[in-house]
Amino acid sequence: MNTLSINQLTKSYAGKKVIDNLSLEVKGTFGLLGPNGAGKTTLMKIIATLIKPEQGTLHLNDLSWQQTDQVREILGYLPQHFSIYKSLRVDEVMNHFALLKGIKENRETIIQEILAAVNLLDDRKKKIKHLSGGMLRRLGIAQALLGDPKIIVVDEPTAGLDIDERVRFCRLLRKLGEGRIILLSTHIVEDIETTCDYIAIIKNGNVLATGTKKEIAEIVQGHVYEKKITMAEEMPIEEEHIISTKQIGDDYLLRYFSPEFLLGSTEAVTNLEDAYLCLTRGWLTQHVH
Amino acid sequence: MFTRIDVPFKIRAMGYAFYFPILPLLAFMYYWLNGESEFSFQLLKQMEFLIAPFSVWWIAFLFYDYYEEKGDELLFSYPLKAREHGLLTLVVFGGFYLALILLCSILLSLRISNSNMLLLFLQFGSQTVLYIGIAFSLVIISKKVMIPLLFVGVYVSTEFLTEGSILPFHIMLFNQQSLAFNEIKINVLGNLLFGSVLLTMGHLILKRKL
Repeated sequence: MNTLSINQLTKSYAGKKVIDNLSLEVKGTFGLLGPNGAGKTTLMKIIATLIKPEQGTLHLNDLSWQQTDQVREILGYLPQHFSIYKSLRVDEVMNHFALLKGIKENRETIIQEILAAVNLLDDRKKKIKHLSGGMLRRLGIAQALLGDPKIIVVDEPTAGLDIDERVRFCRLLRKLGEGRIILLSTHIVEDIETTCDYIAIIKNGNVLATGTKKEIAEIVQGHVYEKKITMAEEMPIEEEHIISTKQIGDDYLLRYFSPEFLLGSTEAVTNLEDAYLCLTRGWLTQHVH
Repeated sequence: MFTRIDVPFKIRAMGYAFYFPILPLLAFMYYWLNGESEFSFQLLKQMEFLIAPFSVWWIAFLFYDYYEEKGDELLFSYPLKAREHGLLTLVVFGGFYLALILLCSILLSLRISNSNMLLLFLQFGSQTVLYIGIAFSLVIISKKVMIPLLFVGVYVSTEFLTEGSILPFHIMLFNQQSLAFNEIKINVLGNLLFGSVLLTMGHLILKRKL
């Protein structure tokens, strides 16, 4: 399996470190999870060769990110904002992007295959301005697929999509991830859970945890509990430690993080969301030694 | 070298904006066909204050999808050199505009007595090169299509209304008849030199961004 090795990456803006000595091994379908301002977009832009880091290296096998032109040949990028050439048709735009990628032979066939893969073949004669949000994102992925890239970088792909389109798009990303690295960033835990095999949680430009979904969820195992409380009952724990509250009949099922066991609680089987909240809110470092 | 420059697509992407600079050319043609011969100097004015300055239009709108539609991030992630994003595209569209200037120069030489087509082309062509340089560098620096249009619009209007009495630097010669080489050479050289400097500056800034 191809692995993108990121070593000791640093990037600052106006004296503030946005990426701080970050190291990461990116492989398979990889999700970058973090709150707004965590440094996800900056990291994505560095990988997409749009920003140069102050320090650190990136490698894919023998290919160094110093070789910008070669990297761009094996890279597909879908930025957060994708809405360009609004008055032109899907097939015209795809043909233009294929030309920019340097695809000379079988251009039409390649474009048709990609449009079919993202389910846009029937809409190829539509103007970009007439596409829905979901279709636009799929077109974004289609252009990223041109040239059969080894890495596809997708920044906040589901932002602004409705639930149906979000689910469909995540499924598409999963399907396209076979045989290549797909790196996607989001702050929506569910998107990562349904799409990615490997995950990194980042905050303030640092990696807080990385691994498979299971490995990350296990980090907080033994520290997350569930407790049923009545509506009239006072919260038995500080609000900042609460992960979720679910109404079940007349009661609430409280899911919370706690360094110690509370009477009447049961230990929960942890998931990615638990780990994400515990890590990004700093509960583990504060309470578990 | 030009294999990744998709001229027909660029024209379609510009939409109506592509055809806008044709309007002053049509006005020129109309005047050339129907204007009275003793007022032929008006055609020279049209060339200096309308046709040549309008070259900024195409150059600015070539970057509309980069900066106004925010496609720069995406397009800069493609395996293209800075010159393919900038200078080479400018060569195509600027070259086409210079061909129109040449056509107008030929028409002018037919209309104005004792005029030399080559000298007319040198005069208006060099002005066009400078306007292209201004448009390119300003759009790359400001990332706004309107900035070069406004800048050149204000400059040309001021020069026209004041007949060159306020601004210290004149791209145009304000001539009412065809001039000899000695009379235009400093202006031509100055325009070409400044134009080249601005084109180089725009290219280097674009290269740094990539």
